[in-house]
Amino acid sequence: MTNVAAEALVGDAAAAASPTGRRAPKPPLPTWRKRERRIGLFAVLPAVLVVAAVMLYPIGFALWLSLNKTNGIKYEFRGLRNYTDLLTDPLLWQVVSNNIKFLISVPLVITAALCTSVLLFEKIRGWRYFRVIFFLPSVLSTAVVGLLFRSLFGYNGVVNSAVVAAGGQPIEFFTEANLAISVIVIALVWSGFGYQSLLLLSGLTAIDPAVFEAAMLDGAGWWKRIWYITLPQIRRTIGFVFIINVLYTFTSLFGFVFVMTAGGPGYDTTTVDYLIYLKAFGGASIGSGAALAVMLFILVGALTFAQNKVFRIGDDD
Amino acid sequence: MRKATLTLLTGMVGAALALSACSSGSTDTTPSASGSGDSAAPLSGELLIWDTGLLGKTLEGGAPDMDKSFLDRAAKDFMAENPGVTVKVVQQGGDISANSAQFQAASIAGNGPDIRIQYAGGPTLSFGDFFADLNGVFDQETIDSMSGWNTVRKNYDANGELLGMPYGSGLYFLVFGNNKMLEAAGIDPSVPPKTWQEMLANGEKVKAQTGKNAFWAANLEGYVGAWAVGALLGGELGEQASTDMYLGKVPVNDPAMVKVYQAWQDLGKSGLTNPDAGSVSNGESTAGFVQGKGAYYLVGSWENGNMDKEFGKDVSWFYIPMLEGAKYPDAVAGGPSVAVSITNYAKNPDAAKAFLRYLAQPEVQDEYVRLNQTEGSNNKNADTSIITNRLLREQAEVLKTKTPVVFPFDSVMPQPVIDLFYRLNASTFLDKTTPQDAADQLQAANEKEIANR
Repeated sequence: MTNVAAEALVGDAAAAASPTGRRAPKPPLPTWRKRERRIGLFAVLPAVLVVAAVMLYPIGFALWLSLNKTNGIKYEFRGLRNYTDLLTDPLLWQVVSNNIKFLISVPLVITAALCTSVLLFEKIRGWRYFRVIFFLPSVLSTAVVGLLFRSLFGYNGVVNSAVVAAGGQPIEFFTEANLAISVIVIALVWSGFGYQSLLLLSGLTAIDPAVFEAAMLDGAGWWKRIWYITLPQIRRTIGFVFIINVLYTFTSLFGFVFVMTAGGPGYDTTTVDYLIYLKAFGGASIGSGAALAVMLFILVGALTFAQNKVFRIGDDD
Repeated sequence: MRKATLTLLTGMVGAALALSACSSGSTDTTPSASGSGDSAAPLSGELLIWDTGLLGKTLEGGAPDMDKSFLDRAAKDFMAENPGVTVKVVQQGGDISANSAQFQAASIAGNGPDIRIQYAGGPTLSFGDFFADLNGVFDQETIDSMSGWNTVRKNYDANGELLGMPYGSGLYFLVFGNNKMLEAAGIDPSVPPKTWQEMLANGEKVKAQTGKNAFWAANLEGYVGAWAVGALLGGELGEQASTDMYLGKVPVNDPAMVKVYQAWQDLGKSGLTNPDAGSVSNGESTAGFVQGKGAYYLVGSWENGNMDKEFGKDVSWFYIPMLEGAKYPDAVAGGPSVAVSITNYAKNPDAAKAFLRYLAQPEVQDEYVRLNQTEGSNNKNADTSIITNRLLREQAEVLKTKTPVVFPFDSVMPQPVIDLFYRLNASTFLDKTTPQDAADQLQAANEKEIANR
């Protein structure tokens, strides 16, 4: 038995022996343990400092900014007024509803990624090439993907050429809100499903092949194996992919919106992250932009927590 | 001995202080053609300039067009006169909202340029916190010889901080006509329509006779709307239209603004413009008109050079006509457009001031006019014989008969209101926003800005 295990046993025994049921005070740590703990703390210190510098400080500063009226040069403390002003601004709710529309991309991208990953897992003919081809859009920058889809769906683009060739009238994809959102969603799915299919594929390859073999021996067909073995076994991976897609929809559409529609017409395709940019740098209301960023942070945190519960990512099977 | 040393030291310190006082007193008032008037020491270091496509021109690949780019040529000449200085010109691009945001972000971080060139008026005043006060940089003679200073003073106050140097006599909103297309529709291009409605009636003729677009518009960003609305507003409210709104004396949702927006929306719904007007960007606009995609082109005098080059005598023009019944039927919208400012965090302020003094020289301003042929010089000592562009000459003549000249809405208002204005111009044109709603939104945004002022 190791020293650590022995200590643990002693501790449990002491707690059990207490007549009141209260845990007895812990015995002082031996010197070697204290030294080990100190070394451990020193070892993680650089990481802690980096996290504090690049995460905690900016978050704290954003919180401070959100309580001020500022253009980055002059500061005037105004408490929670930036928050109350935002919550009573109809524009915020329009923009949030735009983000909700963009959520349609989540099931689409997961379905596409799931189908692709299962086909790759089944090693269909040419799967090695497909794996590379499907991943290619993921290495393109958002600006490139945005420009590509903007020209594809432009008034004189390939899609409209096809529409005209089929006898139809050209469609103004970027001047009607729902059409513009649809094009951005298509771009999102196209650029995102390859990377996510690889995430799902990694989940699939972690399943013990013996489970499939046993199921086959029991006469389970392809669909039954997918439904009763594959999907439940990669529940956590699917949950993870779902969560990052929802996160992405709320926090990372900026590039697509900036390049493809600039949030227009009007504010019809403006998303919350784009509005943060408009407020902070377009409108010189950095405090208001920071308040919106904090609200988005809380919303995304709450959504992630809820999804974590739904997918039981932390639970054992 | 000790006393003598003390006396000597006191004398030296006194002399040094007196010299430094003389030096600082003369620093910002000595004009210098070589641009090195700030101190006896030659200028040195890098001078970083951000332009928003106003004084500089680039080739397709992004490299400076040394044949046509006034700014890059001026920078080269300035470097030749000041061998210790390296001038670096960066083009920010033509998207006003995007390049304003970029400049603001860089300024907060303190890593923006030494000099920024942007539109005069609101776009300059909005960044007053980032610009140095140029009072004292130019001598009185220079100030007296140039016009437009009040468009770059804080709050348009004649005694306010000087936030930039106005450059050029001004750009004006107008309509170019493709003579061949107009003639094909039976319209005489030499007779300009007297009112907005008359212009639309001509447009109807073009559409009916030729089946082509009457108007070519590239309104993705809402700029075309800004020119039309800005001009028509001048016809309704006169010279002070926008400045009164800026100061809150007249609400932005005044019935005149709603009426003007209605006219703009009616054009969008008329079917007389190119069907993709809402999704064609400003950068693609000239090419479309040159390709014959419309008989009329709502734009500004900054296109004089391109129009003359592409069409020669086959292009006509007229200032944007006012609405029928307008109180000021001869109004024209436009005015000083370009401002050159020095940032208050400039790393090389001496070279920046010297460069501005260099640009302020009449012969350098003449070079700007000669190269661009889009506007005259704002220097009273300018050589007008260098204006060779037929359109610019004609416009200067007609402008003398026009009154009032209105400094347009998107030149006057603060940047956040301007950004919203562009957005609303795009959505109103597409019938996504009602004229009343657009005017109300602008009023709310302006009220916020006034409260913050």
